[in-house]
Amino acid sequence: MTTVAVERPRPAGLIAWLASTDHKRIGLLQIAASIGFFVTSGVAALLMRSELAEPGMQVVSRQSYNELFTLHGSGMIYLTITPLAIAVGIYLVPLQVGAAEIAWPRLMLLGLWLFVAGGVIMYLGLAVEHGAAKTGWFATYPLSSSAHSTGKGEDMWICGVFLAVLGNTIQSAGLLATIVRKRAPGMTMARLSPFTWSMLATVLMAITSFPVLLGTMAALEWDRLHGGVFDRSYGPVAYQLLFWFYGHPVVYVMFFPFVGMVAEAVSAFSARRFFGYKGFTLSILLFAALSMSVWAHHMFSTGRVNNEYFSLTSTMLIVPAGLEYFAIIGTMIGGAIVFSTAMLFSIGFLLLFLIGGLTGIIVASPPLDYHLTDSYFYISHFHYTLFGGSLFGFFAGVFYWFPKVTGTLLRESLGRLQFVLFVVGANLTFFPMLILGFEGMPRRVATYPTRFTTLNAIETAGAFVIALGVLVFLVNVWWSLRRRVPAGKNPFGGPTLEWWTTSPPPRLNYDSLPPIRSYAPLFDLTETTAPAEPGPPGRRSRRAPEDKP
Amino acid sequence: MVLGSDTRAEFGSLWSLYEWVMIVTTAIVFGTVLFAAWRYRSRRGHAPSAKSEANVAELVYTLILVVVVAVLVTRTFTTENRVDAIASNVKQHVEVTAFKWGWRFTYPGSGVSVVGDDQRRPTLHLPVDEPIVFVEHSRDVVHSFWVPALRFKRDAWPDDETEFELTVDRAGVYAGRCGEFCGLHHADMNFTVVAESRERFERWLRAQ
Repeated sequence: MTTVAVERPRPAGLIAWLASTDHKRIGLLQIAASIGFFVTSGVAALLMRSELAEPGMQVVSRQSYNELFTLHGSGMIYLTITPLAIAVGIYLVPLQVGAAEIAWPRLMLLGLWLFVAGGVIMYLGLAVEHGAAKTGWFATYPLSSSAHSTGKGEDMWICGVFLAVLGNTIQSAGLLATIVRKRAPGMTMARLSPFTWSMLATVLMAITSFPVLLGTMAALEWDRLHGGVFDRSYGPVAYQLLFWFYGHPVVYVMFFPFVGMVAEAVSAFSARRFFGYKGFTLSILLFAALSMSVWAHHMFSTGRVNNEYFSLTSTMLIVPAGLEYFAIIGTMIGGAIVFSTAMLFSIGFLLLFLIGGLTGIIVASPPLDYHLTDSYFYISHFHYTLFGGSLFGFFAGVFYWFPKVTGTLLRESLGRLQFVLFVVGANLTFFPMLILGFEGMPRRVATYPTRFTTLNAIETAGAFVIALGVLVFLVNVWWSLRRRVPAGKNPFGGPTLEWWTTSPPPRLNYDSLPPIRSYAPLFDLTETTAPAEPGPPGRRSRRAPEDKP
Repeated sequence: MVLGSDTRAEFGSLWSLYEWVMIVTTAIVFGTVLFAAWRYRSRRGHAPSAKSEANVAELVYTLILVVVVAVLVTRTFTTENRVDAIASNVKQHVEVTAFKWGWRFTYPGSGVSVVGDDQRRPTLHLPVDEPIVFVEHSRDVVHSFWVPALRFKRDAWPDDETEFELTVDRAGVYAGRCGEFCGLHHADMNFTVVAESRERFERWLRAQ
């Protein structure tokens, strides 16, 4: 008897996208959803900056202003940069390790829809009585208790945060499984690309710190419904300790993947092997390890934590951060640099993140932080890291990988225009904040003394320049997809595995794989001068792919 | 005996060290990146280097970073010890009570208490050139006592008291505000600090 293979009808159209188990589609959908929330959170920022253009109340009410900064902060952290960082990993990691599929594809899809549901629930808070949550992205207790935050908006915020972070936690576990279990023959850990290493460090932090936030949010909701959790002696400080145990590692979850993207873009556009691979890899692991023990540096002014310990661990971050700069700048030195848009964004990343990093060292010193914490100085500091760092890194990555993902090049002229608008806009918006914060302007205020007017007006203008840059980007994507310029397999001479396959890659990613002898396998094919793998030759022969069955 | 410390001066001296380190680092990194971008731009007859690591240079560089960390942390710790210390020779105590959205300042032993809110800003009178110990707590949510001119803030907790010491080094009128977001009228939870000589302060205290 012969069996006849019955092929089930494959879903087509929209369903094929929304219910896909292809990691590339899940990743792209999550990137699209994150960019959607980036736009809504950006609109919230524009409304805030419009209100702050002059002192007094003009555009929105005090209550609306508090809803806006909560939606802006929560939207950017829980719904934009964290899911974006993980989404880029979902798209790229299986390709970079030479896998046909991601581990646990259905769970990855579940993670995506949990995150989207969380975002929608958070925003629906705007429609209920008393409005959306008004307690900022970290919802300090007892401000977030039922006594001080009435209305279901706060509960919906907690629910939204819980679902979004739950989704990202599941996806992080799947990415870890992919890196550990799905590597192609020959792809040893010591040959993972810099981006995949940065993702590995990212998901290690995520799976160790995100569950703490899930517990904290559940406990906060229980407290709001029944009381008895944080409404006791040491309750408020316990809430902060638990929150920041998530809250500091997440800052690096929102940063590492973009460092990895910049590392690879710089390597490709300098036309040379990434420099100082071992140092970079070790430093990112050290970075991740340290980042698990810096959380209470958000609490120096509480008078209730051991400031010295957290100041020491936070200041020590200079070492791994400095090593990453060493590797990336070292790649540029001795390269043959092509100033593509991706390279410009990478250089922008190095320079603007530096300001964020250095101001971070300042606020890691308690006697300085006593004055600067919760002021606009601090707002400037983390916008230089998240905008100047993470988003510049993201756009470097977008211009670098867009041809791989779509088979089409983005327009370089529009890209350069976006870059100029971003650099000008970011500095107009965020630099005056350093001065305002030092002079005594606190964060989360809808009005301010008249002597702060000029700098605030400059910041508002800068915010609109950034918005124009985002618009140019969206036009660029639309235009490039409409009038396609075919990219080919490897338009920029990328050294990592994904540039071996077609653009876009087929459903199972690869028809064949090149030999993998280092972290830059495509360079190995053309480059004869460089060692195939740094390290003792004995190890190389032991680990060579042809030895594998 | 622990002496009072001038928070503003301590901040200033530590800040100038950090500021100097930041400016030098910025100059080095900006200079290196821009020089590398220009010097190693792609051009005819220029091939990229095949070198992929420089372990000795990286090790030396790491040691330099460790030294920078050591210097910064040492200075931070010694400064913090002075700023956090509570002087033992204190004549003046003030109790600070924060609430949504205002402040109460009580001078123990004198029966004087000043209160104000977002509609009517309270004034905190302080004597200059002597350490003052503050005991702070909150009646509802977490607030923060912040006087930017004194370069200091400390959170007020509903479940516990915190204690800190400040010295105002010159007479004047300074702005004070709440530094921790506390709800609808957070932006208006301000107060005014009037720092004056001991004699004038005593006169004000008696007049209350």
